[in-house]
Amino acid sequence: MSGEIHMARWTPAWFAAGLGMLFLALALMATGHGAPFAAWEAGESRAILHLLAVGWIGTLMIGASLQFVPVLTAVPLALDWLSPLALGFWSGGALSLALGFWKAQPGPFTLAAVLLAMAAAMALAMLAPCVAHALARLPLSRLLALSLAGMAAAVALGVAFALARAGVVPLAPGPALRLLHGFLGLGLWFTLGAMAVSFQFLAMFGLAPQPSRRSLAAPGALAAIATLAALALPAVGPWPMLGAAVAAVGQYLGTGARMNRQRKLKKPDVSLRGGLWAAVTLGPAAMVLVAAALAGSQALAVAGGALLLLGWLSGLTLAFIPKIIGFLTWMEVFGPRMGLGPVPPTAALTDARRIALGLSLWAMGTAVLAASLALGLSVPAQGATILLLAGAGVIARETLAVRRLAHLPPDPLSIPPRILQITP
Amino acid sequence: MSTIVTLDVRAMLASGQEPFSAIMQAADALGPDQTLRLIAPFRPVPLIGVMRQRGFSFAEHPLGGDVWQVDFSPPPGALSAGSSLEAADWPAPSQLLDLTGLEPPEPMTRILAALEAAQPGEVVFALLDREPLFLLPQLKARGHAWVGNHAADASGYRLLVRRGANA
Repeated sequence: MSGEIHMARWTPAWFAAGLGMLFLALALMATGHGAPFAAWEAGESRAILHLLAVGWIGTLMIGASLQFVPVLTAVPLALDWLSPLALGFWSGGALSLALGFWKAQPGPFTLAAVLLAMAAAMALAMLAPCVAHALARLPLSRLLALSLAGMAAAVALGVAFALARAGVVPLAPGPALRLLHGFLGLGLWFTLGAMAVSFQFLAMFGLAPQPSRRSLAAPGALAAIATLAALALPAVGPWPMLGAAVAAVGQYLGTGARMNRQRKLKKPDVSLRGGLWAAVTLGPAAMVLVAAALAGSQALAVAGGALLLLGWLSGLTLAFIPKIIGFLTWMEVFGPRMGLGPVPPTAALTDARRIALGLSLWAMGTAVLAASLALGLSVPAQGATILLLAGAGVIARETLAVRRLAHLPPDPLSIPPRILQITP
Repeated sequence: MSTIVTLDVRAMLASGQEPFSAIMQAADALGPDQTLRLIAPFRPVPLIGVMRQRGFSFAEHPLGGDVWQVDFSPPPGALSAGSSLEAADWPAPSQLLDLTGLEPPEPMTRILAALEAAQPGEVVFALLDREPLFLLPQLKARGHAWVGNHAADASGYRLLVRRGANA
């Protein structure tokens, strides 16, 4: 309600940096590093986990938030010039953190703590005013606020852990504190944020009705309860947290299914279909995590975590990268020509069949990897990471093709834009 | 139950600051069930005029001395910021576009195409599923004036655009 919303300039650069760290993590796994080849507690397993969580999903979450939080809240971004700086600090911090785990050296841990803390502070300085401004009038902004609080808390705790590993602060994080860190990052920041954004994508691109106030309040309230339970982990154990989180997932899937039934777009495109499949993965992910807690099985917990990180979060992200970049590129190149002459449809910028191929390879890789992790099988796990690499490779190649306008017939009026930067 | 957001601008004015943008920000951030209570060291007649043009209703009470309390309430479906305040004087729309059920950016393309075909000064009315946030800067850049708000029953967004003279 206050001022004009412009496209964020650096979204392609954020996405490219995140994809780069995804490829690095997958390449390390494909060459036999990390779980299940190494112990879950080994430095290389931690390095790969943090490359995936901080370097890939974290980078994509911040990059996408800088583009879409202003659109969701109808409030322009504050201090948007900080974006490239935050990107540099965040990706430098993620790489440094992975190096710290891999080499078990204090220097990279200290550097990672400083860079990630500064980048998170910059991201919050840009995003928090938008969300705060919309809190009273927009129920969705409460989910975004909780998600941002999750980011702040997950990073703060992670920074403390990194400084402890560097020997700067005397802290020996036990299992409860590490589970809290994981919950705050994967659960509150990523999953709740992705839930909020996916509702909006379904409404915007699928022409579904907006979710009701009540159906938005429920996952927020349940996530808040799960957070309180996660804070009280040492006293109450994992069940209250898991129970509230599973209830939030059930509520989210119910609302999503209702919206999907009421959507006016009869033939959803490949991104929307991919996003719906990714959302469905949340169900099995939650079930495997509950089974892991029941059986006290670390292998099942890692498999459930893989479904959450690769199936749900990465699946949703990979499905929407070409769509988002396609939409932004279309606005950038053809926006000024809208209404003045013929312009191609946005779908003409992408090749839906190749995107479907990439997402299918990714889904297969995720399923095989989760099963291999649950059963502790190394050879199928390695095969799965090659499927994942191939799937992500197809999506990255297609996204580059979108920026190059490669699927459009040559047109002297349409000059391909800069690859990493949008000109609003 | 309406909640009240209080903004006391006496200290700002005393220190020589201009409170207008703070008041507008507070007004923009209001929820549909919230009221902005302004405390000012004078009766803010020009501000009341601006807020009425933006569709707010108001109730004022003298608090003694020169101090005034004015409560501003947003109407259901308040106008989006950036809306032209002269829309009441515009002619009736020459085109009515029902753009609900269209995938973005199709609604944008159709509105801009309709405006290109219109004569300067003509008005186009469009019904949309949601606020076309990326379109609004395009309209301004092309010299068109617009006014828009959400339907009170949250069924969609209503947009009037007047083609600019030199667009």
